[in-house]
Amino acid sequence: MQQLFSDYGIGVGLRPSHYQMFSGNKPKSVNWVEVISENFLPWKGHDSFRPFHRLCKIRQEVPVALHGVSLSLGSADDLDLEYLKLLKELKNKIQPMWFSDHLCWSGVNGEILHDLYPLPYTKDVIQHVVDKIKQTQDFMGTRMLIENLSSYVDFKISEMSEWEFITEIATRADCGLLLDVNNVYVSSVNHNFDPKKYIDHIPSHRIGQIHLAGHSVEEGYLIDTHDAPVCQEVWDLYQYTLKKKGTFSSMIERDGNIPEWQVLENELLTAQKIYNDVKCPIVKNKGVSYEITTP
Amino acid sequence: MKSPLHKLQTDFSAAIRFKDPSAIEALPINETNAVSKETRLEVYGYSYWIRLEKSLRDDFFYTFEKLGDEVTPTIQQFIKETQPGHHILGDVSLAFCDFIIKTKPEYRKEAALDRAILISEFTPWIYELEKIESILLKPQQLDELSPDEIRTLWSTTLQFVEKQIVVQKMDSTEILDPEPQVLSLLEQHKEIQTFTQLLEKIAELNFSDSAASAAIAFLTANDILYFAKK
Repeated sequence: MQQLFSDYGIGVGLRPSHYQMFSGNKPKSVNWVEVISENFLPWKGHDSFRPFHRLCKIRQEVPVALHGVSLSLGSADDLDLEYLKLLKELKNKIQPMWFSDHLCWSGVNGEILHDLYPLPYTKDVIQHVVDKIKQTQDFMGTRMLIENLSSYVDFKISEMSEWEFITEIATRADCGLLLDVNNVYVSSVNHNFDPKKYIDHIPSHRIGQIHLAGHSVEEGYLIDTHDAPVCQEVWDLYQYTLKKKGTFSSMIERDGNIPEWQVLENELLTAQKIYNDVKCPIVKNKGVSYEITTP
Repeated sequence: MKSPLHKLQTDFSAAIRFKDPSAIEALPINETNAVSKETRLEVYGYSYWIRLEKSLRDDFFYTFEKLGDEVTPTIQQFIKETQPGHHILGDVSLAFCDFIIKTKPEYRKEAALDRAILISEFTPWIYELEKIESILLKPQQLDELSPDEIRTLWSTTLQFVEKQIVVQKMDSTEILDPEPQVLSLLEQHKEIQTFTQLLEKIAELNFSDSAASAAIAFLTANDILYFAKK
């Protein structure tokens, strides 16, 4: 089946401390960037205080993907149309590769709790989320990507696995998938499933983007902190994913402990090597210390 | 009629925000021998708390310094009494500032100052503005002007800044170097005593006036406010 989204190669989740790297001579290691949509939406009463012109400059240098954190597609509440209007305005100005948000809920009864909470995997919830994604896509005038979470709880009332749940939603809503490989790994440890089984089930043609990130280890479970280097298990799962599903726009995502650019760039080179090995195996990769294990 | 999903999410929210025992009991969450339901929920509860506290601590340097031992109870009270309806944590901080001004007016001055700094940190590009010298309020004028006159000047400054930002948006092909006269102006302002006077004057103004924030933004963008903060 034909891919729904273009493959832009290796990118990075761009954070303010690295904006300056994209002010005239972008790093060669990056083909595209992802930015957090909310960072460029206007504050109440402070329209002109957002660094929008920075984003315009970045956009002149590289393709940009918009990644949101507060659409709350799984909330029992209705969609927040005010938020969507702002997002659409931003999208129209930036002309991104695509926009994405998470398969989660972030609040109910009008609350916004600034986190990504898991859903019970039931048929009723599928219908609810599908309707909201369709509304969102109709309003925005384009197909969106939904990202899988890492989670610490799962519900007794679930009727299926997470991979069946997200696949069913993406298929019925006709949207794309932002596959966070780290999140798959974290959830696989927290809920004791085989992460490769998850990857195997995901429809390749709907994958538009891949996130790679780090996590922290607690006693008995993992926490998706996005503040550490990508671990070997996640690199291995990334390699497995590309070999099984093909190559996709892939990026390193750091939300905390943002390192110096050079440190981040080393991780980008590792991602590039794995990507190249699948995309064009004859390309020689030099100077990368990563050791690939056979999946 | 509320759906089962609504009931589950309402319980989940109560468990995270308030550790409500009946809500925790009602949640149909799987647990293992290794990790209990309470521990799993606590990951979210702790994250919610720590995210807000860290964000507020980052944004309210002066206020928290004055609050001392009252910091944690104040944040708890804020969380309890405030509907969490903001998309970004920066907006939560603005709400926290309003909360402080309303419930602890004795810290009004510090909260307003922190708020101005917070907003200013999102405007690092203002240094690019040209010919700002003739319009910006100068600290040396502060002793000569009444609060109303200062407020008027702040407003003029804000209008100017906003106008320039619009221009920047339209012409975003290059970053301008600061004009020599702007650098000269900034040099004059690097007297901490003068700057302290500036902050004191700002505190006398209406703190909801974003013009004050815009002017501080200009100073912050040129490292002056950080100098004072140290």
